[in-house]
Amino acid sequence: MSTRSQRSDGRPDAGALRPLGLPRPLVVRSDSRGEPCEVQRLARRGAPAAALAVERIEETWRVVDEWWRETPLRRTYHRVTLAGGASLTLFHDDTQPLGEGWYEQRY
Amino acid sequence: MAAQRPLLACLLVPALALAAELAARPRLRGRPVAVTDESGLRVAEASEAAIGRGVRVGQVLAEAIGWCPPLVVLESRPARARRAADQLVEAAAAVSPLVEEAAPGEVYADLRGLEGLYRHEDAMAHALLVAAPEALGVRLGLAGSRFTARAAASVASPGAWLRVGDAEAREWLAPLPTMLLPLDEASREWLGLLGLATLGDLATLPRHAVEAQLGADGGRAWLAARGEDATPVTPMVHGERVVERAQTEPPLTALEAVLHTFGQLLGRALARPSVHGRLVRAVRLTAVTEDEQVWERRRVLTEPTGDRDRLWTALRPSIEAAEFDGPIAELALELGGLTAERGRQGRLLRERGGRRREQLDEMARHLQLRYGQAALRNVVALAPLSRIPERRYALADYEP
Repeated sequence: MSTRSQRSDGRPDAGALRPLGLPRPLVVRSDSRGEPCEVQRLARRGAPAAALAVERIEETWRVVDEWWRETPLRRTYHRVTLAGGASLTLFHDDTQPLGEGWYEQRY
Repeated sequence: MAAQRPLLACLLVPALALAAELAARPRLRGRPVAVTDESGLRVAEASEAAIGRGVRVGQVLAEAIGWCPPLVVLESRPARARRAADQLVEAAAAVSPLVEEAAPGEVYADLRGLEGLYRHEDAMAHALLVAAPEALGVRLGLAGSRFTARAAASVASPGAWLRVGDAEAREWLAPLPTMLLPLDEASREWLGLLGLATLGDLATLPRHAVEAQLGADGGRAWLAARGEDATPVTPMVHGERVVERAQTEPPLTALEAVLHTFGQLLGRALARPSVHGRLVRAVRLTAVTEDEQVWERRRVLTEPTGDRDRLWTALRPSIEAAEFDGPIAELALELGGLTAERGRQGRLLRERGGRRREQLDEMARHLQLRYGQAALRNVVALAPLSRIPERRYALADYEP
């Protein structure tokens, strides 16, 4: 989300609103029911992060919003516990195929 | 120096809202199309194909669809129509400095004195048509009088122009219908009852007889019917305006986000060098929804001020009370009625919090100058209860 402001001198975009909590892409392997089994964060600088198995899914919920758009927002969120005990909230963008469209996001 | 013969141009787009919609959706051209009024219940404008099938302006939609089942009904989009109207004004202003917008879609330009720039009238006409958006199907009329130019434009084809000379004006106008005259409905009805169907019929009557029935308006109509309408072009006066705009993607749905964005626009407008040391008398707020519905409020202040907090106190209630027709895609804030420069009475003793704020502002300016961009940011709550996490909070540049 951004707010672009047009100044009289034509300079772009000073003062855009930068959303907090933007989703970050993940690589997720899911089972036949579409639930995540393994999670891997995408590589940043240096070595890619190791894949972590999902020990259990604590909670699942769906968010459907912005129904007035041509492509409404549809997400299935999972709060999971990873191997090692870490907790993670991720979601699948249901407008994309199951193998794609996984994101990590604090909820 | 001999007085120049008047030469007026009329740029005309009949049914402007419909033309703007067809410009955006060219596949609808040639089909029966109607644009509704703001209530959405009646026909405001209709295409020739629709009129040919019995659709009439002012009809209730159900009746219009009954007459014309394949009728395509479009909602009115005031912002789109306004943009088309502004484009027409800009086209005329590209050729002549004396431009008047008589109504949306009807623009007059005084072309006297332009012989040095355009050798022939053909060149002026060509320049006007080239400047106008082609998709709107602008019609151009040139004549020595305002009404004749308007009539010529109404007869011209879309994208074409028609020139009516002074000597031939009365004869050319004679067969045209009296419904073209600038009269109210009752006066037109009176002309119809008397069997005065054409301008020629009216022009042959004595002027005093027409004025006796229709008053001064009738006298002007009589002159117009004879090609002698002396009404000048009244140029638009552009007062000084300071406008800040913002486009949002995705469109804003939370009131807090709208308030914050308007607040930012106010700060930016007041920060402009041209506004420094001056007071503001009026502020116009505009919001355009995703489907181009317009919300607008104008606040005229009882006492002009340049203080941001006082202006915001005056504007905020209007925004909080607003009922928007949908998500907001564009916001604009316009300062008007700017006064001449004035000095400001400073304070002898500064408040502690005020001093801290000044220090923070100074540091923010320093950092911005050093790094070339805003270095401090606020966390702004936009929609804290939103189910979509990235819609809840945002970072906004701290603006001193």
